[in-house]
Amino acid sequence: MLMTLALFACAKDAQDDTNVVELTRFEKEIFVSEAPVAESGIDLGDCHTPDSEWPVQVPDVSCQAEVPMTGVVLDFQDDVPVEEATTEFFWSDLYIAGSSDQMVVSDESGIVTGVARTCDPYTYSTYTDPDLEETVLTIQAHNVMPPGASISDDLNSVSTLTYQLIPGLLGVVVAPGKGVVAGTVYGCDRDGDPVEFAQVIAREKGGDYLEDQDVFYFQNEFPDQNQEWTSDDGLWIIANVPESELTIEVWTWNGTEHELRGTTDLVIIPDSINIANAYVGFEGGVVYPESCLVSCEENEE
Amino acid sequence: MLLGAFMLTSLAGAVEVTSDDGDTTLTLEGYYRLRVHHFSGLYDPSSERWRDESGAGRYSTQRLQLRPSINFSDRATFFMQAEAFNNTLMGDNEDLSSTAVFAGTGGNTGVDGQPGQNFAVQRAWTKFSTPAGTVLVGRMASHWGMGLLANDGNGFRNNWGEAYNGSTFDRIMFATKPLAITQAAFGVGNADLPLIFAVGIDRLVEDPLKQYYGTRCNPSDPDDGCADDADNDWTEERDPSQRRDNWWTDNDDDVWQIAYVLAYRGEDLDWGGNSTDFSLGGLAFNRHQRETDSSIWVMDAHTKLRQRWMYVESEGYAILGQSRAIALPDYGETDPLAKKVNIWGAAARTGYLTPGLDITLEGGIASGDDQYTDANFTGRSFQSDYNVGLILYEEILSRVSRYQWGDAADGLWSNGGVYNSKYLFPQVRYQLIPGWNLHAAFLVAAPHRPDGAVIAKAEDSESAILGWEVDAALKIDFQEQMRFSLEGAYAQVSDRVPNDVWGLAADDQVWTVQSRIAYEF
Repeated sequence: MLMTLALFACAKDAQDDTNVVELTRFEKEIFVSEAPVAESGIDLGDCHTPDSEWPVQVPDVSCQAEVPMTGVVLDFQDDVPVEEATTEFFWSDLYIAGSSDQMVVSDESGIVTGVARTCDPYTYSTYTDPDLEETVLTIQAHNVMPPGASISDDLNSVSTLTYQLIPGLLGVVVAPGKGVVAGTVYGCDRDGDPVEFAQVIAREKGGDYLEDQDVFYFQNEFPDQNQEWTSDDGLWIIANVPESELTIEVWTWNGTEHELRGTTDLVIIPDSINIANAYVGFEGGVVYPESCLVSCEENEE
Repeated sequence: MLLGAFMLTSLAGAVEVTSDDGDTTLTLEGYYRLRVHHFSGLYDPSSERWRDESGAGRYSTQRLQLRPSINFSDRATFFMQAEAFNNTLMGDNEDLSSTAVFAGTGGNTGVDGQPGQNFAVQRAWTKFSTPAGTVLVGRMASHWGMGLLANDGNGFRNNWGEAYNGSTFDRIMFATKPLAITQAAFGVGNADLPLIFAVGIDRLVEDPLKQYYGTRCNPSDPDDGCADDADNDWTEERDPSQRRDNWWTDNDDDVWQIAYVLAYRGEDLDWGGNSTDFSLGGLAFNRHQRETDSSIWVMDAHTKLRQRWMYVESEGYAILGQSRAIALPDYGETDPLAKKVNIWGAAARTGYLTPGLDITLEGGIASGDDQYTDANFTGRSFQSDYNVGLILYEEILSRVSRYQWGDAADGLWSNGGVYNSKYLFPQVRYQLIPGWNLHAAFLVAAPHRPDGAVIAKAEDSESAILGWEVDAALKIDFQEQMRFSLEGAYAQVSDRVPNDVWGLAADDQVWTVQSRIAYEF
């Protein structure tokens, strides 16, 4: 028994609680001390002043139309086409299981065809036969297509392997019944560059920050435990978020204090990955291309 | 066996046939075994992963292993090892019969649910004598020391469970007694001293088919044509159909190693009037692959002492070097693929051994890796045929590591070996009557470097240990050739292992009863 104690005595890290200041969840997640940078060098302050109201974008109704859509369902990690992927579209931009507005299945080249609306945000989901366990339910919210006679788009599908592997490499396990949220922080507009030196945190919509959330960032589009805020790829991931309606907040440092610079709203479904980008200067995650904000009739003239 | 391969072994039940002139002897060794497994609680029936399948169940596997050899006057020998029904489940699991209830002949399905080969030659090699020593050539078993690193998986060396995946290398090796050479050449040295030196070359890969995650960039060369680090993201899909006639002339992607062995094996030595067995040796491999700048030293030392009732044995290994072959980049570094390899492990046993009673205490450690995407690669489990207990490593951690890493990172699976942990494993054997032995053991294991995925970190768990298990067995040898073993174990898994995430170990408890009957020859 003495040998047992000797061998294992150091197994559990000793935790001295003396003089330890308990950090709030916000303090644990938001501590970046570098000003945000977009690759193109644009001034991220131009699009939104932190103390001001969030800008309101109103798409021109003349740009909103139902047009033919061709999409390719691609594996999120390898960019290879995913066949027999059921793709559901939700024109209300809100995922509600079993109530999609359009359902199509990809062919052997991963191609799906149907209709979609331009300048009108929508959510889509992709999944393959659950019995095969090849992919997980992948939900991408706040997509907005520019005006045009037709739409072509790449649709994400996350494989089961990636869903397990990325959190594993980051040192966490996604518990059953919990979900994963991932996205990119962009600057100022829909075509903006990824933003470096931003941090994200999840809170219940209109409520408190989630106590159980594992936030990580990437380097060169690869998960990295040591990356404490967005790198120049802008990617972030939050694992183990519960089924709920969430707001992901984007925070940056202005040299004096941390500032809320953008949000994106999501519905979390258990055992799924939710992809939603967040934009500096915008609330809610819906950002229209500039071409949606002017009359499409005038453009045609 | 690395060393044993060029020394004739003689099992009691081996079949020997000698030619009329006495020059050639055909020997057949091997075994047929059947193992019955029963598990309760291994799978959690309430987990969605198992779709309400029962948490308890049983299956039986069998294996026929044949190890024939042809010895010509102790000057040249050919060896072969083949396996039939290689861990094949009993019964027809391939729909061979028209109706399941009328099934007859069994199939070749393994416990992984996949059909296997009915018969497969695993190893074939030859050895021959020269004036200076012995040469071995071919695909041969590799075994060293306790088997932590190189384990041939042959026979029934394990007290608990079976061996499934022996170490095999395509090797050309020369072995000699150096003092015999110095004696012959210079009259110096004791030619009978059991000191052996061997050197060999292992050809590991001629052309890898794994997807190559490479780099065109040399971080220290500004004129390498790379605009930035992103150019490092060069992958190359490799497929046999892409091979041209001269595919084998590309030497940059070859993987090979040089093996060195120096070992002293003293048997029945007279130490203080007592018969003593003492061995001490070192093994080193130097492994290379040019295209990934891999240069790795694998070093292993082993010692064993047996005198009267006293028994001490230990083995330690270190795997050191550098490689860019591990596709887990660290983009925080200048060269994302550059990894320093620093893996180590050790096990030691000591005890009191008598014909009627053995008491041994074993401890060991296999280094882990708490961060796979940094510049250091530090984790590797023991060779999977070195069994420590029946449940914790063999069933739980092997499954958790496999489910967690998936096929994309199968190199991180434990396969049942001691994984990222340290353990204590006291054992007792008591002989009831000759040929009848009772065994008991207790295993407790603690994390080494928790990775947060397969093994939870301290801040996310309450327990300091991975779990513990109690093992017991009755082993009976009868009819000279027959080996019977009835083994049981009960294990408790702690919150350091995310077994619940993967639908394993309902209520964190598992128990098993397993039985083996074998004819060994």
